[in-house]
Amino acid sequence: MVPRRMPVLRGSVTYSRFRAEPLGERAKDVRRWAQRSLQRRAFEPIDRKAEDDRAAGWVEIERADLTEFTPSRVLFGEYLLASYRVDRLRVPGQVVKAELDKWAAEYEEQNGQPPKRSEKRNQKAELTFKLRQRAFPSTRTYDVSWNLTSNEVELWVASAKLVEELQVFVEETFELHLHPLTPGAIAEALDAPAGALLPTAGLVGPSLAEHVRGI
Amino acid sequence: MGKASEESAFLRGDIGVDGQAVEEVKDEGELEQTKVMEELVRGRTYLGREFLTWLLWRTNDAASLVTIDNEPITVVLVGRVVLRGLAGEATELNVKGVAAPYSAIVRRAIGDGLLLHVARLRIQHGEKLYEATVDAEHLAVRSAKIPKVLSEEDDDKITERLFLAERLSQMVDALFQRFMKVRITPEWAAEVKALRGWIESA
Repeated sequence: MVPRRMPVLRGSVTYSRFRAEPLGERAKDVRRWAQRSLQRRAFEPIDRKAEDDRAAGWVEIERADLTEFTPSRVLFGEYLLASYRVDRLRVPGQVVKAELDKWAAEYEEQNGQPPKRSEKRNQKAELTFKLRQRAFPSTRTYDVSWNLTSNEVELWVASAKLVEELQVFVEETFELHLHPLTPGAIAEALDAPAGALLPTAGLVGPSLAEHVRGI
Repeated sequence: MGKASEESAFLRGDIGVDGQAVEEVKDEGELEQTKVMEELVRGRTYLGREFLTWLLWRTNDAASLVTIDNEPITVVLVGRVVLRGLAGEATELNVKGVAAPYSAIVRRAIGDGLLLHVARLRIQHGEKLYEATVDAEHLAVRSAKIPKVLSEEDDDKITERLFLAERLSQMVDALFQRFMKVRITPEWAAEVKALRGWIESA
């Protein structure tokens, strides 16, 4: 069983907020729709024979090795919960270099001359492939909570790059748009006259106020 | 290059009197200001900075600003604050300390044109105490502490914790909306004047 830290359940709370706008009508059977949507993009382990050294997809919130998504493990009250699992397989460069140097020394001893550049390149590829079979992938999970009543989505991630990646993944999984709940978005939702949202020259300075007025 | 084309290149400012290409040297300060302006305009980040700065001023007297479920919310800024400005000798100031947010150095920095970009809010709602770091660009919640979960069952623990996290977001939204309520009215000018008075008294 893959252990979970599960920030939704414990630890300090960090998340970015979005408003979900479904692109079509939501399915009537929410339980089945949630399960199917998550299963379509469920996590699949890295194929060690292929070239990709990263795999990402949905897993259950309480168990990072389960991808059944039965409704009782996905729907908690009015919330839909799932985790985005990212596995990375890394073969340390210095290990490859050490193995390659060892091979080159043996080659030179046997053949009386160092290996050609192309031979060294082929050997490096072969060594990397072999080491990949033995490497242990690193696993990280990032939680996503969606209040299906208020349509607010929280991505429990701190890094801006991951927020962006996860935003796209959620949008593709559930066929929706996620609108970041920035100060601008909240202010615009208040139906304030456009002029009232311009910068306050007395606080931010006249140059920004003029700049925004000019846009 | 022919004489005529050389002359027109000179007139365009592409080459100097010695016939050598003139390299346009971009002013570092100008580049920084353009970058900062773009950042501020994107998602109207300036609203977030004005909000946090206004909140600092309004929470100075510890009065409640909003009410949720008939319970008043009191806010105090604690710990580290990050201030950012548009131009000048310093465009970012990071201040740490127990009472750092209300310190004279922060108020003077605001007077010099810097506004709060990141602040840590301690929010009291009834008997419940929350703490969260909020940034002006996204109003995202970072390293927040929420009240202890009381439920016994695992599923209930999850929903209770989610409810508390959501309640924290609601409180940040309520404070922001309270700010916007005054910001979009003619009263805002008087509010800014009072805020500046407080800044200048530092």
